[in-house]
Amino acid sequence: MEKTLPMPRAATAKKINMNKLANRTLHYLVLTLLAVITVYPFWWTLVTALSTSGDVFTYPPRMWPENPGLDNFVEVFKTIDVIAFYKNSIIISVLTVAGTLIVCSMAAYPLARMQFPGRNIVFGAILATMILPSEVNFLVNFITVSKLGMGDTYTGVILPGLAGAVGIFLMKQAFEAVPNDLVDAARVDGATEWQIFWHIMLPLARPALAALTILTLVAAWNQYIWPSIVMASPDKFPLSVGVLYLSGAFSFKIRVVAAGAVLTVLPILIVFLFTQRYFLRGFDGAVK
Amino acid sequence: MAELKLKQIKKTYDEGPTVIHGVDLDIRDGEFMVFVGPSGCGKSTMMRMIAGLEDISAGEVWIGDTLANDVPPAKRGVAMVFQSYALYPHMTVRENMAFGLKLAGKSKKDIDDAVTRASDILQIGHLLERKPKALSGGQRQRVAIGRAIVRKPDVFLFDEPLSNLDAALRVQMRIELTRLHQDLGSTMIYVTHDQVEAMTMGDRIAVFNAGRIEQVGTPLELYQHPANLFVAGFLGSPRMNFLPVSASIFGHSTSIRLPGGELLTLPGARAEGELTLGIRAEHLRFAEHGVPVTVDLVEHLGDVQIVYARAAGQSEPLAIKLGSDSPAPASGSRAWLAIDSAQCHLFGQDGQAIRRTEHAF
Ligand SMILES: Nc1ncnc2c1ncn2[C@@H]1O[C@H](COP(=O)(O)OP(=O)(O)OP(=O)(O)O)[C@@H](O)[C@H]1O
Ligand SMILES: [Mg+2]
Repeated sequence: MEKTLPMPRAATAKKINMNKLANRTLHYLVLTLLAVITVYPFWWTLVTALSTSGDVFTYPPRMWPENPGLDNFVEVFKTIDVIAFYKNSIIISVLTVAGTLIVCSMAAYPLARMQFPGRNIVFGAILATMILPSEVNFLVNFITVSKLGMGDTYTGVILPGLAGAVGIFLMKQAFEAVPNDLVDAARVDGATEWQIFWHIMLPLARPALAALTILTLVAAWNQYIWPSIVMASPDKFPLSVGVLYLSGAFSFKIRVVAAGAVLTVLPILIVFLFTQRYFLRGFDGAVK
Repeated sequence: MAELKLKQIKKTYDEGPTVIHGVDLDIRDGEFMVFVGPSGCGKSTMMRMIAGLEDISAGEVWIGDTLANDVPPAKRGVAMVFQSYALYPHMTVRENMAFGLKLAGKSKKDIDDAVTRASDILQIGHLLERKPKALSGGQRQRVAIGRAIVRKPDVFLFDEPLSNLDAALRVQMRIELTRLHQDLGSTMIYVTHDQVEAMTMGDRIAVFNAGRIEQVGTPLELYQHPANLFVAGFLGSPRMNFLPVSASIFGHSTSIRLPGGELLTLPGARAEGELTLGIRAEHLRFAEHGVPVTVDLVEHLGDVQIVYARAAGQSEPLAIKLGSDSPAPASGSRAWLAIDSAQCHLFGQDGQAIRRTEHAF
């Protein structure tokens, strides 16, 4: 078919194709590079944790484990009470996620759907908190938590983070996307404001809820500084804080610390792998 | 069952213009009332005020014997069917229809009975377990109507319910809705842009324009005796032809000089000065003499032909409706139009119709 085309047009068509190909190749190259840069630290940690001999800091770094084995992991279980730390991490993460979903969606609903004076100011103030790095809040939150007698409690770790600007923003976007007619129909059907929220809005905001769940779960699971400030008794530490005992205990065993780090990230990685579909879809609707 | 009274209803949106300027209307118990009017004239706003979805700025809405202004939507005994259907996408058809009853705390058996009865009437029994996503437009509309029926409302509000359907389905749904009205005997208010729906479905039609009602009456009353230029031009397709004329009183009649010089006598009318003559397309015919015109275009619609012809000095062409067998003049040719004086409407400078007395015919 190409042969029947007059020469100049065939030439341009080919040129465009070449351009397209070059363009795509460039895209893939850049993305691959980014992926390697992001993933490599994890890979290195895994390789280090699985190797049972050799120098940790060889250069160039090893790409595959030397004498692979699970010795380092066994060491972790011997040194610290991994199961107890896991339990603490799960308690903190699950309660944080549940609390965040409740607080953020209930804060976002009136901002998205009700007319009241000062609505934009309130929303602006919430967004403004995104400018401050969360470390700035540690001091004030710590004083508040201590004064409320919540030092060294799960509540103290969980409570201050529940109302986040990102979550409120995400939920507000989702609620705003629900067609007005649906709300009107529900109102004619006799639904109260609360029933509209519960029976119509929340089910329709499910993708956003899913996204917020994963986002919060990852953040809550991985948080390190805040729980280590609030918690005083080691038996209440989440795993992310607890693994630090591996480096302090006797000697500085990098391979064992690496194994601890792998154990910390692994559950969240698995959850993420299974749920990333919802996560992405939620953002799809939210950002548009 | 309930009658509906609107008394001096006004609506002003917050920091917005006034969109309803004092509407008075009595809708009888069991009546099928059609609202028509150009886009943006306030039909939906009026419906939403009746449903309780929008505050009433001034005036009173009476549903039955109750002043409904401050009654919440669900307590008014009204059900609304939206143009967008507004089905809850995450619920099955059954759940959609049952939602209102469930909120009202009805027993499971009552709900099931009501849903079954409504789905029988609308023939959607086989769709009950589906989600709205898996339905065609016509099926969705049926479900939306079903959701309204199960609540046994006194008043049904339909806001352009058929406008998203294709032509064939519209005709079918139109007939079904009319039958539904006969079966249920409820009061219904129906907004439409469709001439045929307005003329065929309504017991009465209310013509809205810019937040006011221009005229209320049976379809034929409005068609044959429009109260003003707006109603005359709004109802009927093609729309009524208007010609500027000068008139003088001549005994019990009015004598009118038509473009082209011919005189026409209208018995029973008494008016003079610069007036507007209105005549529908079906009341014009081609003749040996009369108003001279040049034919612009002939549209053959199958059952009828519409001829567009221009009188000298007129910018708007006149529409003439002919039977499909009648010989139509070729476009570009010159012809003469005869006007049936008994079918003429006269409008004064204020746009109001000048009534013609019957006995003078
Ligand atoms: N929430 C609102 N705030 C301000 N103005 C509004 C609001 N809703 C409607 N309006 C205005 O009120 C007027 C009437 O709107 P309405 O929707 O009642 O028109 P309509 O007759 O239903 O038109 P259509 O035939 O296009 O549906 C319009 O000028 C519209 O811009
Ligand atoms: Mg409308």
